[in-house]
Amino acid sequence: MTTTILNTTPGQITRKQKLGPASIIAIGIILALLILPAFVQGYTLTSYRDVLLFALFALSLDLFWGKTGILSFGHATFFGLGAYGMAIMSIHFSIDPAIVSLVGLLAGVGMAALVALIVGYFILYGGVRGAYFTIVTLALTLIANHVAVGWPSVTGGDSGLIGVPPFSILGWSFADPISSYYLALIVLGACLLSSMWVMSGRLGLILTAIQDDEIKVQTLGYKTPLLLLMTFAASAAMAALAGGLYAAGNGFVAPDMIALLLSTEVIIWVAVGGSGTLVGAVIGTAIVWWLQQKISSINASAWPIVIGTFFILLVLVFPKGPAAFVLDKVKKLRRDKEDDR
Amino acid sequence: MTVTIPLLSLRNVSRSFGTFKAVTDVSEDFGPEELNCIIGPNGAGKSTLLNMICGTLAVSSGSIHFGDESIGGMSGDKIARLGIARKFQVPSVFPSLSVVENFHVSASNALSANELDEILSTVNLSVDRDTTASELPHGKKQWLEIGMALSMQPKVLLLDEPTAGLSVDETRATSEFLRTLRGKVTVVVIEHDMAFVRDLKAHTMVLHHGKVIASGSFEDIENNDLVRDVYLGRR
Repeated sequence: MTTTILNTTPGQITRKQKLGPASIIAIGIILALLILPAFVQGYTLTSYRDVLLFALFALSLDLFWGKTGILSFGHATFFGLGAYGMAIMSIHFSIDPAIVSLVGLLAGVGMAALVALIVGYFILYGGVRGAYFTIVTLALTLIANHVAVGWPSVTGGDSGLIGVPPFSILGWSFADPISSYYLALIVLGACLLSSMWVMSGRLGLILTAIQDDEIKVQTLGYKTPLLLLMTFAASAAMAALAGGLYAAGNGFVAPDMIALLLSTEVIIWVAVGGSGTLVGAVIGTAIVWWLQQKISSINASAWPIVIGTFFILLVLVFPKGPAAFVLDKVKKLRRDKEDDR
Repeated sequence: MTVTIPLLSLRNVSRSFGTFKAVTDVSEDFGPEELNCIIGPNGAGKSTLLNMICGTLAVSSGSIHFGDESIGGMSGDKIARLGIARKFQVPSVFPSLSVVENFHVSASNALSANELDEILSTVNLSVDRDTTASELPHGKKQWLEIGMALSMQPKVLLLDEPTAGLSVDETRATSEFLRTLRGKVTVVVIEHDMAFVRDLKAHTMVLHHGKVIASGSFEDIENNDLVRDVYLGRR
């Protein structure tokens, strides 16, 4: 049955949509992002690049949390493993500069996927779900952070590692702000589109069904722990990809890239955009980053209070997230239109 | 009932919860493509028996065979893949998904448009194809779940109270529909509605306090003194 899911062409199941207002807005945003480097340069452009990589990180969490309904409070572990994998391979090992970035990225992504598979195997096959899963993954980040701080000979300890070379592959270097921005944009776009494509197929439906009633899904013949584990590992790998590119873009890694605060922040980014929508994770990251810039420019110490208050209000007003609220309204409008005909 | 080669065979199946024996030494054979009913008062162990057959509950002792294969300790997903489908007592559909999406999840293989139309028509849900399952009335949820079980193309279909909460017309339609399955798939139905069971003309097994107290045609069961004393009552 699991093989059948993977063989089913995603995108076949959902109905064909007309080019509506949402598609036109999406095309507008894509065009704006593509021409952005013509108007913004230097440090500001690298800031936008970092937002794109954080959006990729948020997307990775939404792929698991939004689609399975199980909250991981330890996703910074995987972001950090990607970042540290890139840094350690490029600083501590004498690898050919032509391939060192690729090796570093693969090491980080591979390590994150392996940790997710091992930890996920025991907890998902052990039937751990809901709050207990969240607590276990939270503990995972605490452990990872302790390792990052307490193993200075490898990780640089509290100071982290400085001198991670810019991402390059086979002579192609992404050292300048413009090329590194486009690299981040392409990777985010590819991950977003492929995630949406896969989740529009049978796998997406089955994961939604697991959220509704996992026992029922099992009685239909699905190995639900396996499906959840594969989604968790894919999500971890995507988070590590974001971490690896972030380390290469900024030239350093530090323990706060593998810390509880980052795990919390990414949950807020996804929640603001609306979990389960995938594109909402990207929008949520951009909104929170923009708010942070605006509020910090007025009063830097006010930001944590404002984001905390904003998050509480958001949960109270939009329990399913703003994106889900908008989608529900659009669905209702469509249904009303059909009823009127 | 004449069963030559049973498709589903229970041998001294028992299940205890602590000191409470929910099912005790149940032995029964269900032949291929036959219609069967399990009746008995509340707490007789009917649903527990179904839970053991489909792997939701482990067997405390005894054995369950599906064809030549022992399925007593198998996981639910593996048993389902062998060809045993189950409809739960409370309609168990996926409320977040539409009717069509529910079928896409339940089907053993990717459904073609024709196959989908056929299933929708079989369970009278063609007009509700894009309705979210949570918005369906109770009766249609029951039919949706029956359709989902059938879309698995099972060899054995286990139905736990398929007419619970249905109107008289819906119950009659369900009975007619299940009779059309005779000769196609082995059906095991748990029911309380005696008119429905009588209408099915199925081989019937009676459970009481976890034990089989009678087994045979419904006419035999109706005339069984013990069954009349403990369950059907005397007129």
